[in-house]
Amino acid sequence: MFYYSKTKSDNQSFVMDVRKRIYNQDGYFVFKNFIDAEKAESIARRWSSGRFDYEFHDRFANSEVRIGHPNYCYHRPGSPDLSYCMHMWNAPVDQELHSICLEAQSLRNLVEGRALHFGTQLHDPLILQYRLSRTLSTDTSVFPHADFLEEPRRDSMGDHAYDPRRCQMTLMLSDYGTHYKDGGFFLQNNQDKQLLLGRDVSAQIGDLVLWKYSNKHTVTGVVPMDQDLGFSRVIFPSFDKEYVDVSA
Amino acid sequence: MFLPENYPKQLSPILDAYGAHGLIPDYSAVHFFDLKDDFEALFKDHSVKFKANKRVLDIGGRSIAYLYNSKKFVVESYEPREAFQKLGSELHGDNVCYLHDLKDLDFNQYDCVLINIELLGLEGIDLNLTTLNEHFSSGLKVFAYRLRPRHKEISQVYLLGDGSVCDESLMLKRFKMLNSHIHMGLKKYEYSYMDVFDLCRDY
Ligand SMILES: [Fe+2]
Repeated sequence: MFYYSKTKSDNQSFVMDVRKRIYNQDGYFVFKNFIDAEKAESIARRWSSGRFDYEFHDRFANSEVRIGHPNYCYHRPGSPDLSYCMHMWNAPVDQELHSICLEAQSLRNLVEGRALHFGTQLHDPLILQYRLSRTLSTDTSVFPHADFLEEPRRDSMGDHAYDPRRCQMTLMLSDYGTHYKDGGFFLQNNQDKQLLLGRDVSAQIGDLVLWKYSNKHTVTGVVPMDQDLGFSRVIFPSFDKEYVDVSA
Repeated sequence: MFLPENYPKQLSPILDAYGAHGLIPDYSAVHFFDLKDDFEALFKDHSVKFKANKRVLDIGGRSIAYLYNSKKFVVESYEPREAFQKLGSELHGDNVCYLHDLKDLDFNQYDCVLINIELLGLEGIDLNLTTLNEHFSSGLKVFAYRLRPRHKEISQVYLLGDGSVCDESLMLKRFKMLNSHIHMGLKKYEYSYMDVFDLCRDY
């Protein structure tokens, strides 16, 4: 296994370097080839085809999500856009995607200094959801905002108290310049400069980008070149157990 | 580091320093100035009498929040975690001097001794720590404290975020040795971001 098989010092110095990049220098870190490009594209294609014999529930607002809820799908900003939201408490729709997402979560846990499988169990204080999104619309799908920076929220998935420790991840399932152009995911770096993943930051299909959640970000201006993939990616929000566990 | 509008601007370079040393800007880092307030309240509540140069022995103090911008403090710190040592040196410069061990110290030279008991839960830490109380004399102000995490920890063995593994039962066992001179029951005082135990011999 990645963490416990190597000597602790080797691992720790790598993890500390990643932290330096995220928390101090750049505001993000790219794990190149987290999955193979071919693998990433085949996942994006099967999900964009809509052929699964699986019923996704209509959209739940973040604030409505509760443990036990079904996986859901929404179309924003327009009808061709897809976001499939999958919970830890449901059986995986796509076992391969599920495994990849759990591995990504472990990586984030190492960087955030948490137990390796934090967020994947229902007793954890934050519970993972992974969200595969395909954007074809040029309109803004995520308006500029920062998370855990105490910005007022209409639709909260938990406590938004200041927490600069928190990282978000973007697993790239399509390529800037090949499948979409002009827009996509913009991230404010630690020097307050807005960067477009794929154009200003080397982030290709199959790469996993870890970024500081409290830096401003937005998804806008996508011009699709491939009408199935457009800008496809997976993101990894977490829900506060206190909010989603009605039995507690 | 980007801060919410209602946070003090001076916190930004402190959190940057955490990141620069590969440390997580965690809950106690975010509450650096609140912890400083907590320590100042502790000194006041327990009438710690400082001499002109406030001499403190600090054990496992991570960022030594109370020392920030307080030129009168002279702190000797035992912090075996290298990244926290580097952080403390960056934040406090010459006002903190790091010790290699706790041997041959004259405890009477300190106005106050502060011990972060999470250190007791780490394996491989010098066990002299647990018999330290043999050196406490009557009148010496000694406090052990525990930083409060963002989420209440329910596991018995857990990560502290800097890569170290903390064993709660080991910590409690060692803490019992550290406070074996207290026969009247240990007193706990709750501050906003830490719990404090009074280890003064004569209370
Ligand atoms: Fe966000």
